[in-house]
Formats: sequence, structure tokens, C-alpha cells
Amino acid sequence: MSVTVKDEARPVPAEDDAIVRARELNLSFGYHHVLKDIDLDIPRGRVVGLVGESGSGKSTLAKAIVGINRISSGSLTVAGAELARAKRRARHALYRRIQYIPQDPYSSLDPRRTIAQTLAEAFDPKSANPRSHAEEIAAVLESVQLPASVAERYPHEFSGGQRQRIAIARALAVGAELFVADEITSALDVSVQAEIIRLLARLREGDAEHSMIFITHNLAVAQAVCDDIVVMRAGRIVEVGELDRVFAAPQADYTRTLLDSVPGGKGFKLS
Amino acid sequence: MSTASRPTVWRPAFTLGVVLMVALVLIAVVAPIFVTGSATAITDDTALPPGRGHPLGTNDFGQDNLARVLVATRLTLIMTVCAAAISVFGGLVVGVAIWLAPRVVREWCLRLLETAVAYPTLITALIIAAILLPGATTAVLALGIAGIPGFARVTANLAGRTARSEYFLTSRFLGVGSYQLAVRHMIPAMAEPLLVLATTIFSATLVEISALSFVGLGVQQPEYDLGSLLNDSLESLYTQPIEALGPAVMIVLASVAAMLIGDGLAAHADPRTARTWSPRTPEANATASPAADDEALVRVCKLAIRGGQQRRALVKGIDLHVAPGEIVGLVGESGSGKSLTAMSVAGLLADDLDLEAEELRVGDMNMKGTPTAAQLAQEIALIYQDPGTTFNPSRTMGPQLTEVLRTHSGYSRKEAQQAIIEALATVGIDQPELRMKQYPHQLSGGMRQRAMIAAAVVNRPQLLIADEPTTALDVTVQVEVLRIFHQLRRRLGTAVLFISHDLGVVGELCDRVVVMRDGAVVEELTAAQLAAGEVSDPYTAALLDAVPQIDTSRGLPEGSRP
Amino acid sequence: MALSITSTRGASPNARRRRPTEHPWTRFLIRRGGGVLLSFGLLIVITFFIVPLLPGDPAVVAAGEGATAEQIEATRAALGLEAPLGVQFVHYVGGIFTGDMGASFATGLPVWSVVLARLPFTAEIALMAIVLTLMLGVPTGTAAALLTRGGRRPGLDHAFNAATSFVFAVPNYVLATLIVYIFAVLLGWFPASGAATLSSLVLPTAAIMIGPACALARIVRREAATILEQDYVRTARGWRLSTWKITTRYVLPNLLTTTLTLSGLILAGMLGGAVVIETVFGWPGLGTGIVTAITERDYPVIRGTILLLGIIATLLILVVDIVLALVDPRTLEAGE
Repeated sequence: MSVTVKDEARPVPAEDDAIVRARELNLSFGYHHVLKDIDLDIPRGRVVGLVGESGSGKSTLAKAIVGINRISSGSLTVAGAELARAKRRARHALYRRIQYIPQDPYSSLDPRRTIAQTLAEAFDPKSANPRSHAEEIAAVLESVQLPASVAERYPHEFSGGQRQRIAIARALAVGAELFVADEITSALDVSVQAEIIRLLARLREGDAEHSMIFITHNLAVAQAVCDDIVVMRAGRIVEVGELDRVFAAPQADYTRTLLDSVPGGKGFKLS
Repeated sequence: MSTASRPTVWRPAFTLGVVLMVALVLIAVVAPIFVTGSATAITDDTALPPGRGHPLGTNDFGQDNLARVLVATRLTLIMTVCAAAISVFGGLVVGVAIWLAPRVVREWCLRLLETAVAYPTLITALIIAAILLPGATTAVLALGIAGIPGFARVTANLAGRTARSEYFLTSRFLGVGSYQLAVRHMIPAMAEPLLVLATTIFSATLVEISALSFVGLGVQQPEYDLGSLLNDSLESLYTQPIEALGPAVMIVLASVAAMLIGDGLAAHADPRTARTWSPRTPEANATASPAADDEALVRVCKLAIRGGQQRRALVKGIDLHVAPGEIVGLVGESGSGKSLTAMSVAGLLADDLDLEAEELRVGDMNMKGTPTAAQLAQEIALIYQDPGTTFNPSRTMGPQLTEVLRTHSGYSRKEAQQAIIEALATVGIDQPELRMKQYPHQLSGGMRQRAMIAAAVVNRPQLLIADEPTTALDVTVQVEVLRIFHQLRRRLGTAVLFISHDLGVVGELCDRVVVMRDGAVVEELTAAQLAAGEVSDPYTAALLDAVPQIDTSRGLPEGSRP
Repeated sequence: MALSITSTRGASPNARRRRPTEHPWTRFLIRRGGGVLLSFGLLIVITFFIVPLLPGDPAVVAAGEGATAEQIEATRAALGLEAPLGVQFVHYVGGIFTGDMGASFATGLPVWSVVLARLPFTAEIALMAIVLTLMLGVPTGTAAALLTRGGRRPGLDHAFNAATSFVFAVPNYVLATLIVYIFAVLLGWFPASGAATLSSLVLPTAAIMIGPACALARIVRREAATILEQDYVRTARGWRLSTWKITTRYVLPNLLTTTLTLSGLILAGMLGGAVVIETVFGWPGLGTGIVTAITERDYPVIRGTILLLGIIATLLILVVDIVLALVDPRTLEAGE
């Protein structure tokens, strides 16, 4: 695999190959032009890191992919369908194939509902009855290394890392094809962050069907989690490609600057 | 909802409110049955002073004042309940409808409500009273309708806030339908604040419905409520002032009762209200006498900090020292006590925490006592994390950055400005004169942090305490700020106590690293030991292991890897 | 062939061009101006409909109980009720802009002159009251926040809360009755009613301001307690500034936004309070005006008074917004 730049002569691959396809995507909030001419193909079964500094538009792009942000122009195809053009019912069906995991573990769970109720809603949005899904709930909690007994407790009884596991469990419960994880380790202490990274690696073992977009500002975390990388700056894509290759031989100056800024990295110099 | 961890709602004030309200309701139910006769019968005992049989005297028609007040309570309460119900129900319907409406409609409606809310309720009520004939029903309708915008606005805002919350958003993306979203997440989230608001509306309606009767546009003769009774009493205020007492006290009691209930509910919803305060008494001696052989600039011996209602140990007797010109990193995860330690050294520990130490000194200042502000400001400088809030947002940078020089170092405004402008230039800020005139929000985070550092070191302090100074910054900016620290030490020889959760950053900058966990020091390392991974404590090892390392050689072809 | 992650770079020719950002003040004034015009329009519509909405035959209702057939017809003519609703509305709007809102039923004088003659009296107490409210509420609230250390001294905190909320819970007309009794009836220091002398201003102003001053003090206390926990106050403490400097330069300027917003609302609310208080003191302002007009069914005056009060309330909000934008440039930018 290599970094490929779209060239007109190359045949356009069948839609199914890409889980996310953006063409000339632009997004503005009022007078702020946040995403500028994004062209991107994300293949299935990969974990793709979306990295950049504040104001790069990485979170905005992620939220556009899950349908929280509406794009201003261009096209965005996710799991074979265009969210913006999909009818209400199709859009809701599509929502369940993409799951968004937000950054702040303290606001992503309804404080008034037990963990079982929250997870039951993911299994069955209509009834959300925890009793009829007790086994599945226990199973999904086990997959994020939490005992089944936590199901009856409320979010405020858990630490940030545990809450983030529950948020991941909820995304798993839906059975989505694409996970969009937005800075999910940024609010955590390093040791907890390490646990989440290990959990993600374990969940991914032998799994080629699910795709994940992992947004982070931390390049080292990206390297620990991702296969591919998209580097963004000021609303534009600066560089894309297989992560190890990009880190070993960055093509863009900005990527080089970013890499050299990581404390403990080879290019880091204080004087 | 788990109530175990929350304090009970039955605090004295709330209980008093409920008792008062129950008493008023009882009066409203019972009084008309027993005393309607003496309240309405016209007798010859006109304008009697208070006395036997007539505790509040009689009015000009010989009716018993106390009986009238007790009977009037029923009509006032009934009218208030009806009007408040209209406001609450109407407000809920309008508020939810606005939230469900398309965005453009919603924004216009919200702006409209904003204006309507600013418009006095009583005047809106007067419009309705002008259309319908004055009377009890009119008063209820008038105030009921006039109260709708206020309740609707809060409902719409609460609904909007819940709708934007991440858990609501996530549930929506699980494919949960609108009805279920409302029942499961929206209504439970709004119930508590709306209940509080409903009691406020009740108390406001009670006051205003009585006001309407008071000015003669509410309840009409021969009916009477508390407001109209108070109005009647005005005419005889010179001759029979006691007549005003009954209705006045009753209105105040009802209003206070509703308010106490509302405050109690609000306090219950906001657990922040329970706090304690037991200030420390500083030691009298502000000068420390270091041992003759102690060359350290900062010396901390057996520092212990306790806090909270249980006086839990937050820092457990730690030792720490910083030599002149040394950069010491203080590392730990959240709750390790690293910031508390640093703030104790700075003499800025919150005064509701207990502090004990055998020794706590910076230079010759005893930080357990209170050295003069000028000495503290000149010898210890502080830099904090910059989430964009470390500068006063309503003043320009100039006056803030020059604050220490002007207040404590005797510079004139001009001299201080000149000194800061030069300092800004040395930390690489372009157009320093312009920056001095700008507001904090007009500068980038990196620029604000450099300015903070420049202002901190312009006085040549002996010690610089930096609490997570680069945590909120982007990596490329972080490097630049770390470089400034590095240069400063080489140029000025300032000692730095550098607090961070990031072992990578600390490893690059510091001479020595102190690792903290749960209020105790677990290990001290030199930079070289840290770089080589020569750690002995398992926690430090785990911490080092947890930090993901970047490896730029993995992508290279097999043969070319180092 | 497996698809690899790809992206094309560079701007495409049909990238959307944004129009250049307008000056923030232009945007601000357009937005607020639009809101003000909308409010005025609504006020005109609402005041117009007061008459057509009267239950039954408006002319009969407007003429009042026991009116003769001639009186009813005279009222019908005076209010122009023969014409279709649309024509009436056009006539009404036209009248507002030409200053001809008809004549008072009670006095026969033009509505505008009746209403404008009463305005200064209400303005007098409202302005006096807001100045005193600010002078009392802001220092009390700030002092309470400083002394209670943001709620860390429960005793003092509860005392402040109990005192302010009790006084706030006493309705202004009860308070008015009380102070009339004490200061006019018992002590005879001030006149109980009328607007003849300067001293007659004292009691109505006091009655109208005490409640709002307590409300303001409470909110200022809460807001100041929040500000005292802000990072920039911590920074100022790090610079070892005195409590006085921290209060005057770091706390008070940041209270300004809240205080201004609130004082606009309080001032508008005082127009409502004036209605009641003026009745107690026989003060010849807009409040007694509208109460008398409603009792006498003087519909032209009712319309005129409500329109004027509405316009004043709307302009007050606008002025506060403009002042806010002037003192705090962030409000301008965050307006979206």
C-alpha cells in the first residue's frame, strides 16, 4: 500500500471498497470556513488516525462523518450512502451502522440512567428494556473488561476510564461497522489511557470487518492505535498514508514539524 | 435516580416552607366553612379596634377583619394555583413546540420570547384585563397567560441544552425515536429545574394576582381576596391601620413559603452549596532560618495537607528541595497532590485546607507564615496552565502584565510598560507594543503563555513555579514554550519547579524529577536516569511504560532500521 | 486490489467562496435593529387588537355598562368601528405615525398628550430607583461574596440569603403600605401621596427599589463568587495583589456584563412595579394612568399607554445590548 494521490486515469474503485468517501467537502459554521476541499477515501477494516492541532478541523470532520455536522458543499458517502441525501428512515438505519464515541466521559452517559438502561438502549432503541437483554449486556461489559455487576449502577459511581469503557461498550452493542472515536483518551490520566489503548488493540485482534476513525492530537497515541493516518491543518488535509510510513518519511513539512515536536521523539530539540 | 449520595431535601428552611404552605392550605380549606358569617355579615360594630372577639378589629361595615383575611386566603390560593397552572402548562407546550420546530423558526421564537420576558408580566396582564371585564376569572387568565413566555423560555433553553448534550446526541445516533428520546432523556433532565421554576412562578403569580386586585382590576366587590382587602385597608390607614396587617402578613407568608420551598428544591438540585470553612492561622514568624549547610533555595520537610469534610490526607508528609538554578519536575497523575504541593510552596494554598510542615521555606521566607506581598511577588513567580482563562478578559494585556512591577517593585507605569515590552520581545513575541493594547482573547494560547512567562521573569525571581504550563497547548507551540524555559534558565539561572503529568515533557526539560502518587513521593530520579529507564519503583516503571512512545523507524525498510 | 487510504490535495476550482465578513457592528445593528422593528410591529398589532377582541360588540363593551344607544354609537364612531378590520388597522397604524391616536374618552384630550404628560413622573421614580438599586445591590452582593469566600462560611452565607430573600419575598405594595404607615402616618416625615414636592418622591422610590436591590445583591453575590474561583483571580493572587485591587480590577469589571443585563431587565420590570406603587401613592404617572383608563374603559388611552410602555421596554433592552457591546467586545463577536 502506498500514499496515492487521485489521478484521473486511475479507475474509480467500486463504492463498496470505501467506508468513508469525501469529495470536495466543504463545511462552514456561519462565517467560519472550517473544512476546505476535503477529498478522502477511507478503506474498510482499517483504523485510521485523524491528527492535527486545535483548529485543524479534525473533530469537525469526524462529526460530519457521523452526521452531527451538516456539510456545506461537496459529497460525503459513509457506508455506501450519502447522509445528506438519505431519507429519514434510511438515515436512521445508517446511524446504527456508524457509532460516535465522544471525548468527555463525564457527559456522554445520561446521569439519570443505569449502565444497564444505557446499554439496553443500544441493543434495542425502541423498548430499551434491560431485563430482556441481560445476557448481551453482561457479554458486552465483559468485552470491555468490566464485571456484569456494574450494570445496575449509575454513571457518577465510575471513574473517567471506566466511563470511557462503558461508552465503548455501548458503541459495540449497536453492532456498527464504523466507529468514530473523538479524542477518547485525551481526558484520561496516562495509565488509564494505556488501558484504553490496550483494550482497543484487544478488541481489534482478528477483526477485519470493523473500521475505526480515531481522532487524536497525540501522535504517539495514534501510532499505538492506528494503521493509517490523516494529518490535518487549518481545515485541509496535509498528508495521508500508512502510519508507519508517514512517520518514517513524512512528505509534508508540517508533518515533519509535528513529529519533531513530540517530547521524547528523535527530532525533539530544546536548543 | 440514586438519592443515597445526595443530601436530604428536608433542611430546616425547606421544612419551614412546607409547614407554612400546608398551614395556609388548611386555612383556605377550613376557614370559609366556619367564619364566613362574621366575615360577610354587615353589623353595627364598625371600625372597632382589636379586642375580644375581634383580634384584628372590624372594618367600616362591621365585618371581622381576621375572618375576612382567613376567608380571602382561599380565593387567593385558588386563583394563584389556576393561573400558575396555566403558565406552567402553556409554557411547557410552547417551550417544547419551539424546541421541536425547525431551526429558523426556533431562533425567531426564542428571540421573541426573549423580548416578551423582558416585558413586565403585570403590564401584559393589564392588556388582557383591559380586554376582558375585571374579575377573578380575568385575573387568573391574565396572569396565567402573562406567565407563559417566561416558563416557555426556560423550557426551551433546558430542552436545547439537553438536546445538545453528548448523551442525548449519542442516543439519537443509536436510532432512538423522538418520543422515546423525550420520555427517557429529555423530561427526566428537565423535571427538577422546571419544578423549581414552577414554585418561583407560583410565588410570583401570588404576588401579582394580589397586585391586580390591589389596584382594583382583579377581584371585584362583593368578592374579596387578599389583594383587595389590602387595598380596602389603605383608605383607613390613618384611622384603622390594623386592618392592613392581616392581608399584608398573609401575602408575605404565602410568598415566603413558596420561596422557601423553591430555594430548598434548588439547593437540593445543586450539591455545590454544602461547603465548610475553617481557615488556617499562619505562623507569626515570616522569616526562615535555614541550617548553615543547607544551600537549597526551596526546602520542604514533612509537608502534610488535609482537606474536605473528613479532613482526608491529601499530601502525606513529603520532603522536597530545589537548588538555586535547578529545574525540578514534579510528576504525577490526577489526585497525586503535585499541585497542592506546589501551591504550598508558593504560599497560595486554599485557606480551607490544613497545612503542617516541619519546614517550608523559599530562600529565607517562611511560607508557613505570611511574608510581605512585595517580597513574595518579587521572589516567587507563577505560571499556570492556559485554557484561555488565566488573564482577566475585561482588561487589556498591558495593565495586567505590568501589575507586579507597578505594585511591588516601585516602577512607574511608563517604566513598567517599557520593561514588559522588552521582555515580550525576548520571548519572541512580535509587535509587543500592539499586544499590550490587546485583550487576552485576541492573542493565541501560545502567545498568552509566552507573555505570562515574560512578565513572570522580568523581576528576576529566585523561583519560578510552573503548574502544567504546556498542557493546554498544541505540540508545536509546546516545543516553543519549553524552549523559552530552557533559555531562561541558561540566561537568568532561575530555579524552576515544573509540575506536569507528562513524563515526556519533564524528561526533556528537567534536571531532576520527583514522582508523586496519592500524596506521597514514590521516587526521585535524575534526568539521565529517567532517559535511560533506570527506575526502581514499580509505579514509576508503570507510568513510564504507559506513556506511548513515538517510533519513526517502524516504517523504514527492514535493512535500513537502526 | 485493496483500496488504500487516499486523498487529493489542493483547492478545486469550484471551491465555495465566502463573502467577505461584514463589520461586526453592522451585523450587530442589523440583527438588533431587526429585532426592535419586529417588537414594535408586534406591539402595534397587539394594541390594535385590544378593541376588536372585546367580547361581543366592541362598541357596547367599550362604551361601558349602562351606556345609552347614542353613547354606544358615539363610541363606535370614535373608535372607527364601522370600517372593516383591515381598514381599521391601516387607520390605526397611520394614526400612530402621524401622532394622531384619537382622543381620550374621559377628557377628550389627544391620547399622545395625555400619555406623554404622565411619562416624566414614571421616568422620575424608575430612574431614581434603578440608580439606587445599583448603588445598593452591587456593593452588598460583592461584599457578601468576598466575606463568605464563595459560600465557604455557611453561617454568614445563610444569614445573607435569608435576609435578602425575605425582603425580596415581601411584595412592593405591602412594603409600600408599611412605609406609608411608618413614615407618613406615624412619623409624618414624608407626604403619603401626590407629587407636589420633591420629598414626595422618597417613599415611592424606596418602595419600588428595595425588592430589586435584594434580587440584584443575590445575583451579584452568586456571580462574584463564581468570578472569585476563576483562573484570572488565581493569577492575580499569584501576583500578590491586595484584596482591594483584586476586587476593583478583577472582580468588578467582570461583573459588569451580568449587572448591566440585569439592570435592563430590572428597569423594565420597574415599569410594572410602577403601576402598583403609583396607585398606593396617588402618583400621577403612567401606572395610575393605565389603571384609571382600564376602570373607565378609556380604550384610546389604554392603547396609547401600553404602546408607550412597550416601546420604552424594547428600547431599554436595545440600549443595554449596545452598552454591553461597547464595554465588552466579546458580546459583539459571540452574537451568533
